[in-house]
Amino acid sequence: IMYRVQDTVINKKLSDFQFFFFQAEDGIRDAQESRGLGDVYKRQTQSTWGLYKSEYIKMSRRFDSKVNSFSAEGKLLQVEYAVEAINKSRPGIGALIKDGAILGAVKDVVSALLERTRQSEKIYCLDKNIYCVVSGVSADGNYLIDYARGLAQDYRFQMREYINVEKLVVDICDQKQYYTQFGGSRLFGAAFIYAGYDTTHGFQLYNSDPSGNYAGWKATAIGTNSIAANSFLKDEYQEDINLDQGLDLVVKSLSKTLDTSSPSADKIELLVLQLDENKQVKARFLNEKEITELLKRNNILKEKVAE
Amino acid sequence: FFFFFQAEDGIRDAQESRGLGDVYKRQGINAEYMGRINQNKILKEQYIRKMSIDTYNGGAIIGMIGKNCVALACDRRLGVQFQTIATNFQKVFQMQDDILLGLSGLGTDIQTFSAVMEYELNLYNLKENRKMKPNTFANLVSTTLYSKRFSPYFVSPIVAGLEKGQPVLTTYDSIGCLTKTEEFVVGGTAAETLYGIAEAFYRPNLNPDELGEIVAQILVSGCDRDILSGWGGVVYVLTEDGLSTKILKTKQT
Repeated sequence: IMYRVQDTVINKKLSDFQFFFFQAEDGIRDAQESRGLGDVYKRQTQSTWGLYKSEYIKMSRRFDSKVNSFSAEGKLLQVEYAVEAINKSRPGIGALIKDGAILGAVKDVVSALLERTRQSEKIYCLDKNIYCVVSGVSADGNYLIDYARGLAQDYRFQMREYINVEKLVVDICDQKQYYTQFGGSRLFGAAFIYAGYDTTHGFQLYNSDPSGNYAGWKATAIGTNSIAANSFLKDEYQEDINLDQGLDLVVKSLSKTLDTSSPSADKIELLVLQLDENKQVKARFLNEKEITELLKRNNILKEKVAE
Repeated sequence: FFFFFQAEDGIRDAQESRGLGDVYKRQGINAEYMGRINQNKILKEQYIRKMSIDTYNGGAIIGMIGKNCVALACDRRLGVQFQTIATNFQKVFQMQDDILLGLSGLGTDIQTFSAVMEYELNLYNLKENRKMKPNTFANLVSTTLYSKRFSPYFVSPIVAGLEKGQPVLTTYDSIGCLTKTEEFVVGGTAAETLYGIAEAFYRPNLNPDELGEIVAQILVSGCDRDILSGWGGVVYVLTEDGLSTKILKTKQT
């Protein structure tokens, strides 16, 4: 007589764990090994099914030990490696000022051959009230930026108002976190500094790293030499500074991140976020002339040899 | 229909017989009629069926091209069939500094469709890093409407814009059939009356002031003859220098 058994667990070590269940699909009951993943394939013949099963288990065992698992020391190695990638990338800075926020970045490539198609290479608009600087793998950053833009518009469509800054940051971080745990794909190698405004908390500054972790800041730096820049910011930053003081601070800390090369205006991008007379966020990129002035004012610019 | 004469207050009126017997004392013709309608489900369905979904909220819009300018005007009423609910209901939306979107039709779809177009336009601006040309926007309206071909937005949009100084004026049915025009377009429950008046008063190459004035006159006259439109008006005139907005006071009926 055939009898039905549900999920009998055979007493073995963890690595040899096997479930048995009876399949009643074609009216014929057979004992089948459960892959623990849910049945995807209908049983065709014993031999072909067996082939799928063993291949799958082999692959999944190799996979599991890489991206989504803890190391023996309790670390998520991929996350740490991704953070390393950021620390080797071009810097980004953000600072809150009394009536707004400033974002600064050093451009990746400055070449005479480069044709500028976008207004900015590193500072992006997510919605009218939120901007961000990217550091790390640009392509990953671009993907997340488009993703965030879609989310911000979805929110605007549903609620008929601008998304709150922290909410968007959290949504992006949720996406980053997803890839540290599911999917079997690599992490996003992108870190951001976000500057934005909402009526709940006014102007705010956040950063996020590849793990999906985020924090709020008064001023912060990411990318190459961010430790030096952050330490400078910690000493020098004061609350309620005005725009000029803020720009000085940002530009000085950017120069800390470029220890050997001499910064010129075409290597630096600066964005200022403030409110206009109608209490709407207005964003302004500084032009090359203004940046040059700023660098001169702070004794950063190395004077070019007269031709 | 059955007719019988009521002799209640000594005044005889023809009343529709519900076949159920009279419940209400006659107060006013409308009140009693409405009362009877609500009492009788069958009659109520017939009554409501007369109001299609396009005419449920009421409204009137008109767009007209002038010399290097374009005007778009709308009434301000939002009604639930014959009852007026609001007199400040927005029907024209400035999508960009050179694009206006006017919508007539079902009130909730006016709100949602304008939000959908704003959504598309915002993402376009961010991703393509440029403004949208009025003609592009006009086409996007058409394709967005068609994407809901089998559960449509019950709106009849008008797009008015200025592309390199040249006026753009397009209109659509509710599933996206695009019509480009060089003169004027009308929409809403007052459309039939607006057509006639606009045809009579339209002249080509009006300057912005004349255009605004004429469009205002046409709108007000048209709305006066349509019970579902009116309660004020708003006239937008778009020129290269910017957008001017005028709020009209009309007969409050």
